[in-house]
Amino acid sequence: MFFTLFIIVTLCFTLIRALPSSPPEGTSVAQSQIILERWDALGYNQPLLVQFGIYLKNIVTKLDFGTSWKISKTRPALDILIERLPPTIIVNSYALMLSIPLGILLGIWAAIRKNKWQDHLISTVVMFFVSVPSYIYAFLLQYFLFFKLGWFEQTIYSLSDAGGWFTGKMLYSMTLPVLALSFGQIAGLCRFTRAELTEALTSDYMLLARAKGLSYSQATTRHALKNAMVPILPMIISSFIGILGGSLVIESIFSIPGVGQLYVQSVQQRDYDVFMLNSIFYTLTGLLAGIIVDISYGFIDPRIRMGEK
Amino acid sequence: MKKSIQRFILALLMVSILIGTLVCFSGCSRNKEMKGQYTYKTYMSSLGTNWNPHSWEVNADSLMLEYLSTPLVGVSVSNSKEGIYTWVFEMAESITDVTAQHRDDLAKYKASIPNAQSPDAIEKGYVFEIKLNKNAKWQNGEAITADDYIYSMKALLDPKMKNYRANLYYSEESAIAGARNYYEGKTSDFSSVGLYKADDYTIRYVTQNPIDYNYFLNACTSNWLVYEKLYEQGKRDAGGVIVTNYGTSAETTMSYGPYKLSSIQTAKQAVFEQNPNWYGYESKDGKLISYTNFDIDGSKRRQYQTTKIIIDVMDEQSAKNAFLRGELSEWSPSADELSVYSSSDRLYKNTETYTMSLFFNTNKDVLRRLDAQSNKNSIVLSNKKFRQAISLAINRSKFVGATSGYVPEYALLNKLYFYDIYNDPKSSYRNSDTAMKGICKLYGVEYGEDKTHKTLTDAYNSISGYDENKAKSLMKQACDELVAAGLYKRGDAISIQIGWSKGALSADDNKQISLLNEFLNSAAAGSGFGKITLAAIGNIENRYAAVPAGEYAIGYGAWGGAAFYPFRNFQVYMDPDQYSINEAGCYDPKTETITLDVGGEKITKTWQNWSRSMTGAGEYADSDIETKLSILSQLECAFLETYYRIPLCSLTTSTMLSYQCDYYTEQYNIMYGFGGIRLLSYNYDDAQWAAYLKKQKNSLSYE
Amino acid sequence: MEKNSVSNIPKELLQPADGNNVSGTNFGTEHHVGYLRDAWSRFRKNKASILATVIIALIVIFALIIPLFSTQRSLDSYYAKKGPYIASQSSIPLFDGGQTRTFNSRGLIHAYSIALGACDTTGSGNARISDITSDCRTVITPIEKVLDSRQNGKYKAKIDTYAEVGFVYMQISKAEYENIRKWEQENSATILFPLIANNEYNPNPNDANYWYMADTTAKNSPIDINGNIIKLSQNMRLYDNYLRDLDGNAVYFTQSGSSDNPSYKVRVLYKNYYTYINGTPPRYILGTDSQGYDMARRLSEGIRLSLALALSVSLINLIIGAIYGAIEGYYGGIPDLVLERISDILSCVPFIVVATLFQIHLSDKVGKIPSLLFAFVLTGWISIASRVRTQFYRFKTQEYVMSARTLGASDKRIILKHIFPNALGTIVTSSVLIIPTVILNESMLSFLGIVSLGSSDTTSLGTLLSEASNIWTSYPHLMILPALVISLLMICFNLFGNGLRDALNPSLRGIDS
Repeated sequence: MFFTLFIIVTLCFTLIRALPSSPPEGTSVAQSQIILERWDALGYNQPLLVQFGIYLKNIVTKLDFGTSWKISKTRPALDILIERLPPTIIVNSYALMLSIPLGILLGIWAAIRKNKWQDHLISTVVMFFVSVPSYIYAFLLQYFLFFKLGWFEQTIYSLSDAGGWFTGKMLYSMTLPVLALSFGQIAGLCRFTRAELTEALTSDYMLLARAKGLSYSQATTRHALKNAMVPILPMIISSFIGILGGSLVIESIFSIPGVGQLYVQSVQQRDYDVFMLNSIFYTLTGLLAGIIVDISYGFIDPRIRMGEK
Repeated sequence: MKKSIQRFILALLMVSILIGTLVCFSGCSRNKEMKGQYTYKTYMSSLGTNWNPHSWEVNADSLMLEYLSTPLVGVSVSNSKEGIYTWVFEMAESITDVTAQHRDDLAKYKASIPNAQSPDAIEKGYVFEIKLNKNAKWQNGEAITADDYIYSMKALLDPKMKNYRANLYYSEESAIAGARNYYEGKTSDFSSVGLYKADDYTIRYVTQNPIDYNYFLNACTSNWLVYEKLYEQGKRDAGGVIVTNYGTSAETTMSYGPYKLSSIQTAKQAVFEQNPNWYGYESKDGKLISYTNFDIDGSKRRQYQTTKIIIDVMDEQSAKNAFLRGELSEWSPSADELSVYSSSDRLYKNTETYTMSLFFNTNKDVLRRLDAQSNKNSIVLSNKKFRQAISLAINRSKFVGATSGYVPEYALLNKLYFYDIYNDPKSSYRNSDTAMKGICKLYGVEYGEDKTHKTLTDAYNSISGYDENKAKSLMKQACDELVAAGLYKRGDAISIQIGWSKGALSADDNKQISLLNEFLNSAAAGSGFGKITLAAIGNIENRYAAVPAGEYAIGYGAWGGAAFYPFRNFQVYMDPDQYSINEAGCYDPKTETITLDVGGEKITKTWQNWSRSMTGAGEYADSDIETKLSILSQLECAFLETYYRIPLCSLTTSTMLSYQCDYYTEQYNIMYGFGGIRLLSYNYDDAQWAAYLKKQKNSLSYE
Repeated sequence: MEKNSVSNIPKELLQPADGNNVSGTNFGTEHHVGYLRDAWSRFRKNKASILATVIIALIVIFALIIPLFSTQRSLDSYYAKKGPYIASQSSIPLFDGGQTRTFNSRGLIHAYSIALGACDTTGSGNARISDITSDCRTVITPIEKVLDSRQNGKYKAKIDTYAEVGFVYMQISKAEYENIRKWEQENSATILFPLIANNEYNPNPNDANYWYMADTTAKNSPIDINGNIIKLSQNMRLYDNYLRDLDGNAVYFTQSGSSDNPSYKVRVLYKNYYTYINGTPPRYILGTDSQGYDMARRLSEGIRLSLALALSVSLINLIIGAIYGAIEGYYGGIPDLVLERISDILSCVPFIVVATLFQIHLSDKVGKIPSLLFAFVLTGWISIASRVRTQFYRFKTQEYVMSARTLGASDKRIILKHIFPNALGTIVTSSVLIIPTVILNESMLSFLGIVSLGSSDTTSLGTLLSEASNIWTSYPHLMILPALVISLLMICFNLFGNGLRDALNPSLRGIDS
């Protein structure tokens, strides 16, 4: 895993630092002089390999991922990232807490009532939510639920307004972004659950269970559901970790000072160190998700544990 | 069984979420209603992150600084009907010119004296005595004395820190004598710098170059004070330079202005509250009240009525929604939304000083190299007639009509530049006869009894910078010249990249670029030139440096600001020692000369010397206004005639103000705006406003 | 139950399960249904998929046909962001370019002034509101009087946003001027109107709609010759501020430029000028976009670009993935290990990062679209490859493959003829399902501003949405139309892909859902 990480870090670093970068402008010669000197002092003028070596050394020895230049002058990039983690994690956790139970329940119901009107209704709605880009319903939510009806807040509260990350007020203000995020996840989960459960329901062992005398619900709960959950659980686990990535668009619309917004800003303003750190972060979470999913497969599915023949 | 348990747990979870939400419903309003509190809510797209007066860089930073600091001298309204301003002495009790009494300071600090004069004859312009306000205190109650000022300047000019704003004090018009040597590390003795303490509440400021009193006061509208303890505590070595984290968070800020920073959450919100230790407040019934120490329209008025300022980060659409629900006190509608609100009572408009222009790199070698790489036949730009044709081919009215929020410009300084603002507030440079005459001459428009235009004003007003026929004939001539010189083959296509913007291209940019293409091709029709294609390139880090460096042949950008002394403004185009010249690829202003007519005499100087001649120690710095105007106007026209830079348009900004508060005056004044936060008055306090919103069902209309 | 001996069950007790005589029945087994025919019949039965296919086809036809109907000659920035328009005050309420807004009395007077100015063809400045007739280009129709938040009287009215453009200044040549005069006479419509004097009564010399005297210190309220502010009334009369020559006649042009080739500055009524230039009055079925292009045209361009991008990404991913997966799956062993590691590493690269970096680096050199394509293609084939690999693993141990090998078939033949067709179903389905993802990702990237595909002749759906994102509450059609198109496309492609998956799944053969 670290090998993969290393390769990707090298790739990103090379691509970013190889950009024709010129130091930011100053309006007068005196200011430009100052900027050039600072640029030089931070080592941006040295050859690429040397820069990379310094960068790696800093990470390994001091856990120093560089300094932000544009977003937050001369502040360590790591500090900035850590500061932006809480809102992203919290919003996405709430979204998951809402969407996982709902998604699974809906999927189960749709699978049980396969091809009846409930199934068709749910499938259509799910199709709709999966297909429409999330920022469109973010806008619609904001417009109708905040502007017209005034039921919710359109941007999340700041810490001083809400008194902390976990207060009720903060939750209230996060309702809209949580909703916007969960629609897509509910839809995805529902579709996936329905597919898996349907497949499980039509398999032979179900027939056997029914033949042996179990009622429909007994057979479903004890056998089909468990088997269907096998692929679903890893998906849930990976989305837990995937949430760290944060949805870029939702964060900017609802003014959530999170990781996704930081990423977009670092791209727009060309703040290289923050961009690197953010990319490493995303890569790391992706890899972690993969590993945990692999391991969890082992725990959940006894067939894998016993090895394949 | 299991399934029902599962269901039950899930139901419980959802019910608890619902209950939680409902509970918050009732108690979850954004502001606690309080009587007698006046909160000003505004928004920005990103908060300032560094409001250290020594190193702030972007506008968002300076906005924060405005609330947290008080200048030595400020500007405000004296008579709003006539538009008369007044200097307001804030952190300085008084500022007097004491050059005559302290002539030896000039020699001691090695001030620059114009050649013609002897030191003993100098009466004014160098040494200023600033008597400090004895009531001034820091946010924590400590008194502010002369030592604080001296320490702060020493820190600002510290050679190891390389502070961004140091240049204001060692190289601009109010540079301190001896500061440059100290800043460059040539001496480590701060007593050789011309800022010293006369007693605990008096400092003396010795300038390197002579400066007019009013301009010195203008320089004192920014302050350099920092709180020593926090400043020193926050210092660290960032690989070669020393930086400090002063002014980056609530804990590292010490305010001395009317407001203090209560809290700031990065990229989310900043909250300012009244600073009880500010000298201007008196406590009455538990509230902090302040009155001006100067007369406005005849009497002293209440100032800083705002008790709290909240700045939120939100995007445009959210800002509009919030404003229309009464949650924001002001909103800047984008140019597109303006049409709905254009007649609104609550709309306030003003133009900015920035003039967007196209600037070129006409160096033949550079153009040839670019032709080999990313352009085609951009060598045609080296021909002056071609560039002149470009300027005349652009229909600026149509150009600005395409994207809202711009007005057309035909010269380098727009009408917001004033040449004698301190004595004559209506002295707009652009409207002066001299300037108008110059522009008329440049565009070849005549006026007089027997001409098409009877008066100078008519002639000036008829200028549109657009003359397609002339452009066409110039194109033809340019083509012939280029073909004759073997630089261009008749009929070849021309394709040039323009370094357009720092960010990604927007729809407006695309519109403008396609209009430019349309204009150019229409003028080039039948001239011998092939199809001309201009392509705009966005995402360029620093296009102002990229063009002279030869990465692009054309750039699109603006200079602006410094509107009160236009006589030194042309240094940005002509003085490479002071500024990074955008047109450095076209000419060398240090060696090329130009002849201007000064009072009947023909004088030849280099461009650089001309741009320096009216400021600082320049020979015309003390001349009368008429002479200076004449030189300025000739210089402007001469530069425009080289067509190294073609002005296109300038920006206007509009703000909508909520019903909650009012500006002091409806008439915009270049010196004091509409009155500013100082004089902002409220129609409703927070409690009344909340009640009002409830009555309006949270939906306001502002059309 | 009767106790019967199992070995000796009487014949009469046994009866066939269903009453039909089975022998001799034709089951139709001679009629061989091929794989594709079978898939097609399954696909046809799925109503949702058919509907989706039809909608997709309609959208594609729309995208291809619209350019043929576009009447616009060039960018028309005066009519930017206008709503759908067929004719003024047409019978179809949505298509008259009207907007219902609230006006204060000043704004209402200003809107009326456009109609007043347009009625004033002779330059006398005498028209009154009561004189405005319907054929005199009614701009605004008041609906009712309302009270605003401050208890001030305001007017709710419907304004024709196309007519609201009113008058503009133009620079034209002398020859053009003559042409216009001729056209005016032929068509008995007025284009040219008197210029406005540039004095203290003119609030904005760049705005040709302030033809009446206004007080610049009183928020541009109209005033009369004595300086009194004019109030709104039926008999209200505005005092003109036309530029007049010494004899008091209104001036219609000022000349500038050289005397042999002069250019005239004129003031035109834009709607009539548009008719003069284009031959027909403005007609935009879907309105205009934020720059001034016909919205229908922009949508068609967007659809074409998005679909082309998605299809090519899909195709390239398909080819690369198929080959890669086939090699991995068939040969196994060391090639499999190495290739798997490589695709493992590549799959961990976050898409956003790659897309951004490529845009920044390559967009100058190879263009924006190829670099975007490259970013999509870099990691998109991985899922297809893994699916193909799974299929190969599943089938390569089958008996018939072994027998084919025994019979001497080459590797290539086995891959292509025997194993591959089994995987075809899944491959085609997953590549079709890539298309909506590509459209979604591309729109997200454009929306965030990381990549900008808009220009004067092309645009993408995401760019249209991002242009609309800040102003859509004022101009809803800018957001609704592209959003509708994207959503439809995505829903339909998803349904189509689902239907395809069900149809091409051979294990469903013969099963009636």
